[in-house]
Amino acid sequence: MSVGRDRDEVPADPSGTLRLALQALDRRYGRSVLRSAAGFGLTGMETGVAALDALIPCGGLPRGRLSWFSGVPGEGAFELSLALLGRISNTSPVVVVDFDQLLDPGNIQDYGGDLDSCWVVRPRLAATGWAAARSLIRAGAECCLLLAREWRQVDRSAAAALLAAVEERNSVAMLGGGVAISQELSGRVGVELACRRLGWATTHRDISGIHMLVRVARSRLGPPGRSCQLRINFPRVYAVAGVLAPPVTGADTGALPAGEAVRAVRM
Amino acid sequence: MVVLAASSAAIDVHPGQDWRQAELACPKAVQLQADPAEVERLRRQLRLALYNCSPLVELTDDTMAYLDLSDLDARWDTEAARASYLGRAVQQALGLAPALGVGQSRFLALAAARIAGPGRARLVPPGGAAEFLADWPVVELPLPVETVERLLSFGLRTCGDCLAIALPDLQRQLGPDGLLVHRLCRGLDQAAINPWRSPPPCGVRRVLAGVVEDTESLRFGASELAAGLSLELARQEQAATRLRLVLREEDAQDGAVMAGQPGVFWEEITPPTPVATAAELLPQILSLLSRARCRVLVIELHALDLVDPPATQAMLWPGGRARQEEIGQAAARLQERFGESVVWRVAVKPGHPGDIPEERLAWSPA
Repeated sequence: MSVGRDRDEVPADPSGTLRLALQALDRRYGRSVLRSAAGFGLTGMETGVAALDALIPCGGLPRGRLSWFSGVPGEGAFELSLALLGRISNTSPVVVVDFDQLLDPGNIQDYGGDLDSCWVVRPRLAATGWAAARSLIRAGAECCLLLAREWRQVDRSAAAALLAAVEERNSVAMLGGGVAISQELSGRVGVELACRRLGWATTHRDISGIHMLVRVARSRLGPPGRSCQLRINFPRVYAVAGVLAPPVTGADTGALPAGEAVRAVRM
Repeated sequence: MVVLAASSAAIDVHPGQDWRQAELACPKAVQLQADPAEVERLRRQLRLALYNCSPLVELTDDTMAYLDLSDLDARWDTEAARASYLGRAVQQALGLAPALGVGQSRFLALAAARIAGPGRARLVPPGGAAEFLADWPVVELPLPVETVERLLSFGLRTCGDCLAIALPDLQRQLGPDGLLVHRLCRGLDQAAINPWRSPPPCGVRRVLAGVVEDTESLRFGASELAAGLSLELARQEQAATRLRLVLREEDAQDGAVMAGQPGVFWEEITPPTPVATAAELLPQILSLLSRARCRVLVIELHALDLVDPPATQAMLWPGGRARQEEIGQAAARLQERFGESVVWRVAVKPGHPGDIPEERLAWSPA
């Protein structure tokens, strides 16, 4: 028997017993514990980077799921997630939870984002950060980026509460950075995008960006293994040293508008 | 300008005017600062004097009040004696002699008071309104400007002139205002006195299934409380400027809340703007619950100092802005719960003040 996505509409259940059982499970464990077997019907939030959207079957960062940009520091995972958040902030309210207080939120604007649509959470305790993210998602934030060096020790219930809110509001949650992840959180990752640096992009002999490979390391939405190459132009170089010439964007497809921070180089 | 000397009317200075304008009109004007505490004391004294004379009092502003003297009172034989007593009581309270007018309607009483002048009372006997108002100018009637101009264009300058015109003729020329003119000229007025009455209590009360010691868990019931109170406020078409949370323990007595009452915790909050909807009430309730410390069996939430609900402008056009308001409220709740340094809004400072985020950005608590 397949159970509809809306559990209030249970087919072939004339006695209503199944409906009662499902309602009891919902009450006891929350609505996220039981899902439809008839397909998730996930939609994706377009990132605006066609190459990246094409990697994920739902055509963007999956709504209602957790996306993890994994990679050791210096490989570009942190910057990629921040640049994508900047793009999303132009159309939707977003939240950044900076667990380690390493983020320069100004970079969101430098990546073309809108700081007016951005709330920055800097918690003293990790539990506070998870709770704040959950509250803001429930209030209507479309996207939440969680930033930390690693995700080994995560409050299981706090993370579950956040992800339940993300699923309920059909929002997007992103983990930025790190290579190790706790077992509880690992089981809840919808798609993991492993980031690896291929090289530095230079402008006038100065490092102005990063060439990186993004690979779908695991996915609950489709087969893993697909990859693309991206180039991120670091924003601060141009923001600080305004005398530099406009960035040379390298061997790009040329179809993207000027000023793009994240560019697809090759599929 | 709040209050002016009587002589100021001759030099075109009136209440509500800016001080500079008044100074231009009268260079020798002297400005006296109002003492709010003293003003409030005088208001209290005035109210006492008025309510001592009649239980039905309508205070329009600090300069005018209407009383319903139609009820019988054994203390005074006649309306004249009652008015005389009222005049003395007000003079004793304020140190100023009031102008008193007694009539069968609001307009007639007002006209009588204006004719009487300060320190005097004028009574218009029943049936004597038309005669009393015969010389009253139509420009002083509470009528639309167009109607007054039309009356003047017909050469009708006083109420006596209008009374000579039959009602059908007035209606033919003035439409619905014809009946109004006809009534006013006879001292008739449909407006009744609207006395101040204490608003009915507005609140919600919930009895829990058992004693709850963990006040944090009460937060889960906050939205239900907010929804219940918002329904009550909607029924009364009011908004609350003050909220009071009362938590009673198992053995606490019901009834009015008093300081030091055993087994009762109560806390009040004054929101920055009047609150009426569940979304507006929720952060206030959460804030109140975060301060709660006791073993709770009964939760009561009272809306106090009710006012007309404020109108809010929804930001419909910019994308995502409508939700930003809700997120801002959620951030305010988080600040209340976890402290001010949790959720931040940032803006890039102009120029280049520095490289590190603390120098480069303007940080403000959300």
